[in-house]
Amino acid sequence: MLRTRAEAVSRPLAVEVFSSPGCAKCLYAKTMLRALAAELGAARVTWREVDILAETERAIELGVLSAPAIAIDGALVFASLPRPDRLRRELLRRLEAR
Amino acid sequence: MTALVLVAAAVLGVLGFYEPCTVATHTLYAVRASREPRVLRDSLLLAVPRAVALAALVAAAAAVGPRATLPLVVALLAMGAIYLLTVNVYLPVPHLELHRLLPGRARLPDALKLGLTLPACTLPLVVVVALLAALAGDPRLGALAGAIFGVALSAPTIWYSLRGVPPASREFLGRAAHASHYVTTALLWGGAGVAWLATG
Repeated sequence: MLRTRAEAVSRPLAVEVFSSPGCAKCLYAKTMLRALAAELGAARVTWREVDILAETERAIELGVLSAPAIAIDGALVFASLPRPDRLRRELLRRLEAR
Repeated sequence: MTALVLVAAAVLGVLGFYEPCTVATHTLYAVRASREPRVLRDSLLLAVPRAVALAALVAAAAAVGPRATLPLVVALLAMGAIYLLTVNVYLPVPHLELHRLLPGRARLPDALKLGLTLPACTLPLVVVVALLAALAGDPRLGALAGAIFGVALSAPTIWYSLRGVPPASREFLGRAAHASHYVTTALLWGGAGVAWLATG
C-alpha cells in the first residue's frame, strides 16, 4: 500500500485529450494543454492526444460522448472543453492532493 | 426548382455527417448503439424527431419566401468565411440543442438528444436548404426538404449503428472530416452566388 502511494506521488498526472480530425476546438484544447503542461512541468503533468476515430474503444471505455473531452488519470473529468482557468485549477488541485 | 431543393437537401444532409464537429460524436454514438439490443428503436428516435424539427425550420423559411433571400445570402457569405477560418482557429459557436426545449430533458434517451442536437458545423448547410426553399416559396416543399435533410444527416449514423464501424471506415471518416471544411466553404459561397443571381 505504501509503495503504491509513493508511486502515485512520484508519477506525473496523465492527461488524455480526446480529439477528432479537422476539429478546431480540439486544436485549441491541445494548445491549452501544451501550455499548461509546460508551465507545470513535464515531471508533474504528461498528456497525450487520443484520436476518437483511431482509438474509439478507449473513448467508449471512459464514456466520452464528443470531442474535445479531457480525462485525467484514466477518468473522464471534462466531457466538453473547459475554460483554461478551470483546467488549470483541476490539475493543481490534483497535484496538491497527492 | 423542386428537384434542386430536394437533391440539395439530400446531398447536404449526408455532407453534414462528415463535418468535423458531427463525425466524432455520431461515430461514437454508432459504435455504442451497435452493441445495444434496441438499435432499431434508437435509430428511429434519432432520425424521426430530427427530420420533424428540420421540416418545421425549413418550412418556416419557405413561408417567409423570397423576402428571406437577402438575409440568408448574407448569412451564407459570413458562414463560408467562418468555415474557412475555423480550419485552424477555434470560434465558440454553440450547437443548436433543440432537446433543451423538451420537459424532463435529463432523462431523455441519448438517441433523442443526439437527434435533436444540430451540430454547429451543419447549421450553414441547413441555411443553404432554407435559402433554396425560400426561393421556391413553397412551405410544403420546405417541409419535405427539411425532413430529407434530417434523414440524410442521420442515415450514415444509422448505417454504422446497424453494421458497426470497422477500422477502415473510421480511417475513411477521419480523411473525410479533414476535407469537408473546404467542400462546405465552396458550397456555401457557390450557393450564395447562385441565390444572388437567381434573385437578380
